[in-house]
Amino acid sequence: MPDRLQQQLEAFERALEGVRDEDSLYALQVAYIGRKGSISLLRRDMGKMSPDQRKQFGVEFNRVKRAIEAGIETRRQFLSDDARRRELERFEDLTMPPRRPEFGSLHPLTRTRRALASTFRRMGFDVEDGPHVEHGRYNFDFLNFLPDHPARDEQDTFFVEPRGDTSSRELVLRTHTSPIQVRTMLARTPPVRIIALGTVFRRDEDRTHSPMFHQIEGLYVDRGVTMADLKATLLQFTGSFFGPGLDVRLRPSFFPFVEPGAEFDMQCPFCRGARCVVCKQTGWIELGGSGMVHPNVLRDCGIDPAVYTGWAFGFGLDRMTMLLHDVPKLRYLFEGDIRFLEQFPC
Amino acid sequence: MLISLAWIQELLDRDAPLAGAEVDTLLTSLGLEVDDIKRAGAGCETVIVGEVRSKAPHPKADKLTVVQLFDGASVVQVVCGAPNVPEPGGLVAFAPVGSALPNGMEIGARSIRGVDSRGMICSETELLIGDDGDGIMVLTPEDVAPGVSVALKPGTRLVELVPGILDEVLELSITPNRPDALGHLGIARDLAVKLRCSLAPHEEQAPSLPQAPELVTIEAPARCGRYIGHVLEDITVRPSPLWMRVRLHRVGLRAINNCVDVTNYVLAEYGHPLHAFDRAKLAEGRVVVRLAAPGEPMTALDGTAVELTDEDLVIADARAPQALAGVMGGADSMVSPDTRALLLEAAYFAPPGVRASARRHGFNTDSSYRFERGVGFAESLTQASLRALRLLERLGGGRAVAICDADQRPALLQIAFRLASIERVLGFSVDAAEARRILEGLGVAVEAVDEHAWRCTPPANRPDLAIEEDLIEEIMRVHGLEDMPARATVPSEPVVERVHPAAELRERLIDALAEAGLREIVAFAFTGAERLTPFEQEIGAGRYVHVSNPLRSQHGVMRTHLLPGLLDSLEHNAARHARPVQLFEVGRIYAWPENQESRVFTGPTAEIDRLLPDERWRAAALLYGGASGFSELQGTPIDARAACGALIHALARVGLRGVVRPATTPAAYLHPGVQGEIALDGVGVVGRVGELHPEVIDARELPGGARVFYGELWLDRLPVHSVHKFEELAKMPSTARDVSLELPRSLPAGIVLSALRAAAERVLSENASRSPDDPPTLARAGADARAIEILEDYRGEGVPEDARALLFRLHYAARERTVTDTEIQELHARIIERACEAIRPQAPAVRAR
Ligand SMILES: [Zn+2]
Repeated sequence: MPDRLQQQLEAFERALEGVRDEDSLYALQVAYIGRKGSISLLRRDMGKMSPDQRKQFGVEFNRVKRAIEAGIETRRQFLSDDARRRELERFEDLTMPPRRPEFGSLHPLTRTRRALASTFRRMGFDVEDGPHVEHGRYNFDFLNFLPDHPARDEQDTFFVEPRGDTSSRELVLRTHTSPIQVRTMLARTPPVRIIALGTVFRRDEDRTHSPMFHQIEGLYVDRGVTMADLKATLLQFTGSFFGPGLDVRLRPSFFPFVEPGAEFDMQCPFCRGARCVVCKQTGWIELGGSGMVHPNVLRDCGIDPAVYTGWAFGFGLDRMTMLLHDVPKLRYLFEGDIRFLEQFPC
Repeated sequence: MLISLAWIQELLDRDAPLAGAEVDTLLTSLGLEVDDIKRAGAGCETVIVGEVRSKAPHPKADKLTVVQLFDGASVVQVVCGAPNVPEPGGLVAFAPVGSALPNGMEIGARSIRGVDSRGMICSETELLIGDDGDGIMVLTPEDVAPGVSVALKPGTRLVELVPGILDEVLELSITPNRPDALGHLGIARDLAVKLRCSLAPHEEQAPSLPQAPELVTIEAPARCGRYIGHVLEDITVRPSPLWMRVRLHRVGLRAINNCVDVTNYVLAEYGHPLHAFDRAKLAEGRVVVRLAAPGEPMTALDGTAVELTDEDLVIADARAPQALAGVMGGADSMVSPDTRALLLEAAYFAPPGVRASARRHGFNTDSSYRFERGVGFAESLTQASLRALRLLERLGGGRAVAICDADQRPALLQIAFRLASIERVLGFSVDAAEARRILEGLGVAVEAVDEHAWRCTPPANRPDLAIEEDLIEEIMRVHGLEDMPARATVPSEPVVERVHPAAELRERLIDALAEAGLREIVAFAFTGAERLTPFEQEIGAGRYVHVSNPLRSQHGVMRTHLLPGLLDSLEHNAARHARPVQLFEVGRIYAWPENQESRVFTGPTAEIDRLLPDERWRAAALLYGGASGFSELQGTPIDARAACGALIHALARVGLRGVVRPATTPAAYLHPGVQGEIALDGVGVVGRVGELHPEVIDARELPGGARVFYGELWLDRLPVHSVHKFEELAKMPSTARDVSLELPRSLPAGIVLSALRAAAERVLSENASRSPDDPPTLARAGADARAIEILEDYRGEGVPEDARALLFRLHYAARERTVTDTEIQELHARIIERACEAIRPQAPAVRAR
């Protein structure tokens, strides 16, 4: 009998040599020491043995079984080490193009609009917009444009053919964002503190003008608002947007909806006043117009100019965008050339 | 407008010379914008007066003259090509050897066809002081500028005789509110107040002349507030003297003859347009200011034939119109070389009428430009008229013989002014004496009412001064804004920030579409009707919003669709490179409402809003794989499913779970077999997506066979973000069951999915009603929290040629327990059976594999 055990052990060891994976190893284990394994089956014959033989068989059986178990364990360990070793030999080329959705890009005007809006929101301004097709009453009349003001000419303004009971030349594509101010003043009571931001249209198309462009305007109406507050706000804005320490300068000028009116310049943020190409060697960047809201405008919008004063300012988003990103040509903004767009990734 | 610094200097009572740069700063601080400064006359300093001693023809050239010229020290020989060399004794402008003339010419000793020439006799054009290049200047004592004491004799420098030759010329942009600044005197007045000096005395005394009321009849007093007519006789029409020609040339006006030049000179000085009629050509020698008869003809100075309307104000003689009032004179009565008597007009015409006439007949003249903005009708008008009279007497030898001042001028405005208002508006105070000095210096009459208040009367040539704030602006302009403090005020009441959920939604969609690989464009809001119609289904051409005066015909309609703009950009790109182009835009479309009554407006702007078209927001994406083909290594393929992905991704970014399903109303501009609609549970269709129809591609400049994919979201239909409520987490794991359905390839998976969902919902709810104790439901347990997933699209062996096998997985769970195999087995089988029944009309051969 012990011979048969020994033969089984030798057969097992031979078989074990050929085991290459966990499953075959398990099968081998079952085949020899499973409940119905060949070794286990040999124990069935123990009943026929003498006590001595049984004792000797028992000793031998345990030895062989342990040897098989140990063999399996060693082999298992070997297989697992071998598998890990082979797994670690695997190579993947991570320098191949990464698998990811390629991002697109945001239009630079969107960036400027968002940057301006969030700057002014932090300063306590609501950001408002209104219709592009606007009534002349809000685009001109309420803004103190006299009925025959040149801006109302076919030359400068796009007129929209009306429908139904509106007479012609009453509807326009808004020529500035100021009608948003009118609408807000009509709808609210002071303090009114808003940024009007959006698309505007003028009949002008050349190297530096686009028939569609973008404006931002600020409006603050309250008791005790003065020109000095306007200057403070503009300083706060330039400081917050371009970094602190840039001076702001106001120059008297004329716009129908403000009185007094002033243009405002900002110290050039690129050279900080030291004169450079961007500021055409002046140290200043002309930004836009501003002034104290004309009493006629306040009155038309239902605000008593004897109680309230207000200021307004405005400038162009497109030029600001060109300035910020060093874009040389206005038309690039509207052509949709991906070679332009991709320079402003998400 | 061009301004001569020398002229300004002459109008200021101030000795210290002004430099252009200094005036630039001053004018800028005064609100007068200086666009450019140019130095003029450099190079003329060496030019002197020469006296012709003798002249002889050049021996070898007929057109040349050899002149012996006395330059004040010696006689030099000069060869001259001009036809008008004066007789001996005549004086000319002589550039000696060594001169470098303004036109760039350097004068050296030369031999001209064998004859020595040491210098050059100059014409106006060579010195850039005039337009007359036909001959050399022949100088007479009249050419010397008034007020110059230097004698005209050989050797005298020309610039000493006519100092205006050396000048700086400023180009100003005058804002429309400042008609008074459209002349040198107005600019000088601002500067004088700023510089705290006075204007040089310039006022003329009115001569005592016989009144001739019959000269002028005003029949339209509402359009003509004042008309001063002077009659001058014994006029000799000839060229103006050099000093005046130089001055006109410096400010961009062309010298014509003394009579016209004088009116132009006064225009440039006073900003006041005048007109000189040849009185002999006026029927009855008088003028009538009246409205034209409809259709009445007139020939303007420039030869234009004008057909007048009864809205046009004209200056007529006893018979016919002789000038379009304030715009342009008539050819019939214009000054000619034979003119002997003038009727000199100085008038005030109301701005709107002048503007209307100028527009109507297409004129934009120096005169209409000023009248449109409003010139003075009071003292400045009188002075301008007298100034012209004096100059005509001096230059033309004429003498004034009669005057008619038909005066129906408007009243001057009075403004109540409180000193405290200065600080109220500006935020800083200005001393009362200083404020008064400024206002009076600008010609405003100031009368103190009490300590704190004045009554102010602005001059007639300042129509812009109408209210208190206008006067504050004047004080601000002169006082300057340099020392204005920056002082922030705190809002008098808390300002509550308003949120705009729809705007927030748009911003997040923009981010999402950019993240999805698309590039944002900004396209024009207008396009051409022919570019829109191929895309229109929802909005018919009858609802288009038309621009009445577009710059180009392809900008005549407000867009009702974002696709044309995206295609324009695609064309632009495809013409320049072969790369893939993936674009998007979030923008507005415009249309008249289908049904006006259905629109509801509230609030203070409702009356206006109801007159306006609808403006709705769209987000649109356009994908094009480029001409160079796609490689797996470059990322995701660009196809219609990528377009779906971009839009579904965008919806997911704003918390919305969109699905693409077969289009119920297919879009004609999309490929009939490659399109779908984008829908949201509980909302319905919110957009569409697909491949562009080949005919749409053909209509554009795109590579043949190009495939372009397009999708859009209708933002006005998207629900605005709401707060999500928490749902308790499942306690027990869910159970999944798969089914593979053999389906025709043409049957959209979306239909099968909906059928499965509908079947599951019905079967499970029927089951729930029978055994309501914690019944199984569909569980969001799959990838991306889906209850029903598609795992595989199998085509090939074992499946018929035109079919495919879609492998679906359905997830089931109960709330408090693990669902059992048996209950699910049965429910699942019923669900599949019911779903197959539902799709059998479209797929008779459907079967579970
Ligand atoms: Zn700079």
